[in-house]
Amino acid sequence: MTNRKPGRMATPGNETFEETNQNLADDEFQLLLNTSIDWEQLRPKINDAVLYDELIRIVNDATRRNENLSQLKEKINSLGQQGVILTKQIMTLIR
Amino acid sequence: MKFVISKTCILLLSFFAIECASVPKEVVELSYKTGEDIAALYKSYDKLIQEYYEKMRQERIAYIEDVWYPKFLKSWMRKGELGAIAKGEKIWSVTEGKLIANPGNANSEESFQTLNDWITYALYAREVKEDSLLQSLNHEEKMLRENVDMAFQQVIRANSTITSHLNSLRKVQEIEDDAFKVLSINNLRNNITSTLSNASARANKEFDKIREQDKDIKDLTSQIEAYTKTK
Repeated sequence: MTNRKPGRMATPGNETFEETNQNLADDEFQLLLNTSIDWEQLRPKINDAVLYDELIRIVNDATRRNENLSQLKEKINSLGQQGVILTKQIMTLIR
Repeated sequence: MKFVISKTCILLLSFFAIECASVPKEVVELSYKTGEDIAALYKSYDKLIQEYYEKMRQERIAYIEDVWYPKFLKSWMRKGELGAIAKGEKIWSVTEGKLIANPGNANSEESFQTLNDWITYALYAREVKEDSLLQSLNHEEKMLRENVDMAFQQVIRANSTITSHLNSLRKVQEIEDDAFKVLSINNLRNNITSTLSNASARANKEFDKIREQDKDIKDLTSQIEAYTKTK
């Protein structure tokens, strides 16, 4: 939007402005026709954001569970040699 | 103690469960690379939109510069009496709201002021016309770019979630491998399969024996029957 003011000669100026528009109405109509686009047609029609959010939430929960499982590695390591022996014994029992 | 054992068993069972669905590192890499490419596609799409709208803007500006404005200026020179103003013959009367014959000196300050008024409106008209033809295009471009941005961000976010999840599965697998190493049971699954296979072979052998014995019994029965008949 222009910040420029029309000045004191706005009245005759506006009349000239409208007159020019009327004289070139056909040209302008053609110009608008040639330089217009239905932007809605170009808009990507992807799935609803709500559906995405819900699915992402569920996957994130599953990811967190996996991350927690990987943290168990540290806990097992912290058990030390005794932990390894104990786990071996358990495995033997399972076998 | 019982708690530790049960927890360890759960952990080991989890390892076995995950072992069944392995995630090669290439899967994580492919998902990550796809995410990068989606971002590149978005940039390209966005640039295409900007260039397309810029082209339409330039066409409209060209119309203003080549057609509309020259026509307007021609009319404005006539209606705005530029010639008379420039010669100092006419000045703008604020009280009457129109151009009037200059009553005093042709080079008076009022003459310059009137010339300035004429130019001010000429510049104003150019800007107003440009606004009227470009505003809708600018608005449409903004809306389309926002929509495309939202769509791509949504897809990028979803892909990133999938990549993270696949990566977490990889992490668990690595731990599983470590745990197998520690427990020296890397080939446990193979051993189990092999044991089951041996058991199956043994079972088949036993079954063959039973079939042979069954045949012997049948032969013996036939011999007894034959012997009984001759008696």
